[in-house]
Amino acid sequence: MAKAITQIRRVDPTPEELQAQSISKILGAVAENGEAIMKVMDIVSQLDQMGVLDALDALAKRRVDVAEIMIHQVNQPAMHKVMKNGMNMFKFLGSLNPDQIQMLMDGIGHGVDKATATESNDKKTSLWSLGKAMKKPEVKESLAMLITILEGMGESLQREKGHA
Amino acid sequence: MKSSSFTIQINGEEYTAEAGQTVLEVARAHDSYIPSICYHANLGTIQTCDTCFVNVNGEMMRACATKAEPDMKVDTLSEPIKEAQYEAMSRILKNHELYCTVCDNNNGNCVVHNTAEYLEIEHQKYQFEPKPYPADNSHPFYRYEPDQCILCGRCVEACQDLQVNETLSIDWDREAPRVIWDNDVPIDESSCVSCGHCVTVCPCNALMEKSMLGEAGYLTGIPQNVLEPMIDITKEVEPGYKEIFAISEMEASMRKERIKRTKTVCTYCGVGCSFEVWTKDRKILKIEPQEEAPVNGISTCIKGKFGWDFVNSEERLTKPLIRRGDEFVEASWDEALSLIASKFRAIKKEHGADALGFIASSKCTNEENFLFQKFARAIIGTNNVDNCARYCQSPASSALMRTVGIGGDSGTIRDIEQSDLVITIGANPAESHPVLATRVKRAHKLHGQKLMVVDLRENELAERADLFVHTKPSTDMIWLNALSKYFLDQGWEDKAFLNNRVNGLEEYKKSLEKFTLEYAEEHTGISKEELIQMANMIHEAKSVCMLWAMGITQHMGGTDSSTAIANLLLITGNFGRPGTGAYPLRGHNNVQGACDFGTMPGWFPGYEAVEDDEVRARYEKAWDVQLPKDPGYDNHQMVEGIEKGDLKALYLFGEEMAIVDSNINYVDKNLENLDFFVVQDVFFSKTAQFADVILPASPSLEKEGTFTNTERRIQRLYQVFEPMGDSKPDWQIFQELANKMGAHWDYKHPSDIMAEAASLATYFAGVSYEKLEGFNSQVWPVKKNGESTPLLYQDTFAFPDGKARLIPVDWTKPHDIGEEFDFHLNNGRLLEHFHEGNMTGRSEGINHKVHEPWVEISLEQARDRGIEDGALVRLTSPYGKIKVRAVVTDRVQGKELYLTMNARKDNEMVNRLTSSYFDYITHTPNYKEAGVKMEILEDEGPSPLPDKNHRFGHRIPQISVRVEDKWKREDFTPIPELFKLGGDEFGESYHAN
Repeated sequence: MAKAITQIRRVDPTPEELQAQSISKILGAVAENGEAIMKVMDIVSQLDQMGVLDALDALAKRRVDVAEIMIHQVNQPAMHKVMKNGMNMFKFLGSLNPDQIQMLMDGIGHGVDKATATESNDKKTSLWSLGKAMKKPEVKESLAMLITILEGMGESLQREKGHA
Repeated sequence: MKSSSFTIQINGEEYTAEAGQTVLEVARAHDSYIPSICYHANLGTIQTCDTCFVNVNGEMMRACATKAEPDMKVDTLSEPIKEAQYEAMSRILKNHELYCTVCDNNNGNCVVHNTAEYLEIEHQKYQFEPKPYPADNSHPFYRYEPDQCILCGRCVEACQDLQVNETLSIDWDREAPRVIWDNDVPIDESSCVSCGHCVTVCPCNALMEKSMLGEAGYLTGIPQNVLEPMIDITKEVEPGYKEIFAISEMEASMRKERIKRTKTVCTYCGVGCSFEVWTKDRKILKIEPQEEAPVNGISTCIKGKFGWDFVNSEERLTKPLIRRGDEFVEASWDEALSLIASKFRAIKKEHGADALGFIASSKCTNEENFLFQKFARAIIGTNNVDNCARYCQSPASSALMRTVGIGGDSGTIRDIEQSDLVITIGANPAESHPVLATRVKRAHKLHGQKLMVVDLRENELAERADLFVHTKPSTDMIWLNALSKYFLDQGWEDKAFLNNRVNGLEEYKKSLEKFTLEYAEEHTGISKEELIQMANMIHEAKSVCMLWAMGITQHMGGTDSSTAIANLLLITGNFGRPGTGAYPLRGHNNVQGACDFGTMPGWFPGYEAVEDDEVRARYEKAWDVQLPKDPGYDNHQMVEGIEKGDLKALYLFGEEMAIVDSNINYVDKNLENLDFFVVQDVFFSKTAQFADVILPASPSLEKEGTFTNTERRIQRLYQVFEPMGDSKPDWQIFQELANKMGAHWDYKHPSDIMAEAASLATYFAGVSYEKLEGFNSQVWPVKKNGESTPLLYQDTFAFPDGKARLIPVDWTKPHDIGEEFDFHLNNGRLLEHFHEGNMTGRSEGINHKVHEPWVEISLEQARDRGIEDGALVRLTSPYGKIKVRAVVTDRVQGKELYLTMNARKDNEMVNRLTSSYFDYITHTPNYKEAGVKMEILEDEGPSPLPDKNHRFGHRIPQISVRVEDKWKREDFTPIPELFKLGGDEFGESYHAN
């Protein structure tokens, strides 16, 4: 004879039992990863001494307010320009051929070396010597290159103007 | 190559095409990508997005609307085409802001995102314009954000022509068009049935499941006051979309790390929808249907799409419980199983193995049902094992087994779709098998399929039918026989078919003598003219499918009525061809599978008789035991057995017998008298209240296994979650209990169980988990090589001589309840809740739509008795009484009442009123032959049906999205007018790329 009943006695673990369970889980993990945990402790303690943890704590607690202020600051014309310029800069760098730039940079580097070496012999540069230097094939090569760069730049500027 | 196929050229490559395919379909079939935002394989051509413009033989055409023709040359890559597609995409982005990284739809499958990326959209060509409408958040499960809506019309197409609920449309006439529900009412107040089709097909985030919002992305939970300036900055700085896409893609792939996508099979009705479940830890983010799902594609109903809250319900059983005095006390598994083992042993020793009974679950897997019957037969030694098919479709199975040989649907949902004429009898698929009903509604709306509905109640399919016939209760068998006789009298029968493939015609003819049209008219209430009209419809149709459910089977003559259906189909030659056959619609996700895998008192798995010595020997050898020979008790006989004192112990899993068996006052009394009762369930059910031991089981999302749907299709489900608490998958519980009782079962995974079943039962010889991987499925009988049989009886019927059998049957008068009980009481399921609601009743959103049962009363009776919606009535039968509120409706007629089944309270349950009479062959209760008297307790009151329910909506039927209205708008310029073809087609400059 078993009447329909609805009473259920749950043997819920006491708060102490639950706590004991989770502590034993944690201890298990600690025992397994002892060395790594000690290192982390060390880092955490350093950060605390520096006051970083307090700052992070405050930041986490007020995250929405902080995000709102930050995003407001970022959402200004000047910042838009910074971002646009930054991205243009990236695009510019992306558009260059690294081999050619490498060559150019090597050239400039060598030139700078030479320039600093020349400076040390402390002799005044006369117009005459400049004129004479123009005849050197090395100088001619560099000048030709600079002029070509100016030419290309001009073309691009003209194109932009034409479009506008 | 098939005779209907030919080749076309796309970008210089030759592709085979089938007649009728569009250029887009050919390209997709060969993985050649053409942008196509509004096209969806399950929906077809819509023509709103214009991103699929291609060059076809020198003309700019929409690939989705251009039929492939032999030797056609298509170019999709030349400059003018790219520009045209770019223009189309730019127009779309006027309606849609790309803030992908902070969008919950950025999961790698966003069609708008992926198309914009493919077309290398760099900048917003037309400025984004918000629409002057706020977001609609009124519906409990999904929201519509007009500002993000690109007006592609996928949702409208899905609602109008796939689900065919006809709620959504786009109002192209207003300045800023938008999607509207009904006549532009809030979603929650519309005719929306919450099926989720629109949300599933939305190619962006305009329609989203609310459970996804703020949950899917790493950054999507950001509060609005931070989010808006972030979107501003992105727009202001506008580095070009390429960079935005790079970041959003990175974020999308990070999401894959924490959003788990698992394929499962729906646990509700017998249609067998499969889909992905997206979860984050134990939170269900959404149900994501897939095109490749074999039964449903992207279709779902409210329960499958949104009804999964029960899995994480706090009311789940998580520990075994043992009755001690007047309460249940939590126990360990070891304690509970040891107790069961010792009790079972003691009862078997004292009273014999047949003093124990086993009731299986049509909610659980094939593997679990297989193990359960193995436990009953091999460990205990009894055939007293049955499942809930006894309450529903056993009469249909038994009728089909004696006429055509196999107790299942003759074909698949594809056959129902392509049939000339669908006849539903005593079934309400639009609510009980919603996704299957969508295929009938679609074929009827778009493809000229005819629909006949025979029922007491004018359900949704009846409203849509070409012919709705109302019969007197319990008389279907008569008109079925009368139509067979009329066919034979007219000489309309399929003579060749009968000659070559059917036995018993002469005897059958004789049995029909009394079933004249006059006799039928007198008893069924269907006029002679209507009967002839019905016969004509069948005669004119080249193929007929007959679908039926509990309106046929739950009668004292349930098996005979089902047999009459099979007979009529045989007479008219409607078996064994595509688009024909008999379809008893299965109620539960795995009621077919439970029967298939042997939880029946007379059958081993695969319908092999336990009395057959040869079959038994095969199982005895495999299991190394002696097996009982005589068929055991069915559900009904088990309850009787308790009363007689023969049955002492019962083990039941996943079955709410104390609510769903008929005449539950009688059942409850007997459950009280058991010596020992074990109930295994997900919840503390009504039945569990009578138990001595309750075992906590895991629902479908917490285990692996297979389900078999109404089509006989076997599909795999994968584990989504770990079992909650200490609950366990049922198969593991059976194994542990068997081993406690001395067995040495060692099934590591459900696939081991299926392998054993496949090795023993011929029907499943080629079933294997490898072949069922992912969305693959197998339809039994499955040959050893893995080949399925979707359509039965193409060459032979399932008898030794290969011929079907016409079985003479006669009408069984319904149970006479007595004049005093002057109302006929019908009952059934609802769309929103599954059955009595033990799972769906735990969903807040579903309860918002429907939260209590009601009784439907005809306009005429309401007038006579002076009552309105919300009146409180008491219904009394000889077996009990209940109290429910009324809904007055023209769905029911005269003195016929309809009571919904979603009852959780003792005094609202229909089975307080039903009797213990049954189908004389299968013992299925005659649930549909109840009579009651009605007393009015309150003339009026709060309506039991919330006003925010689809039944009060106003549908707006139309075909598709009416794109012509878009094209007529003044602000619309056809894209081909903007771009000249010439000089750059494929073959000219393409090679330069």
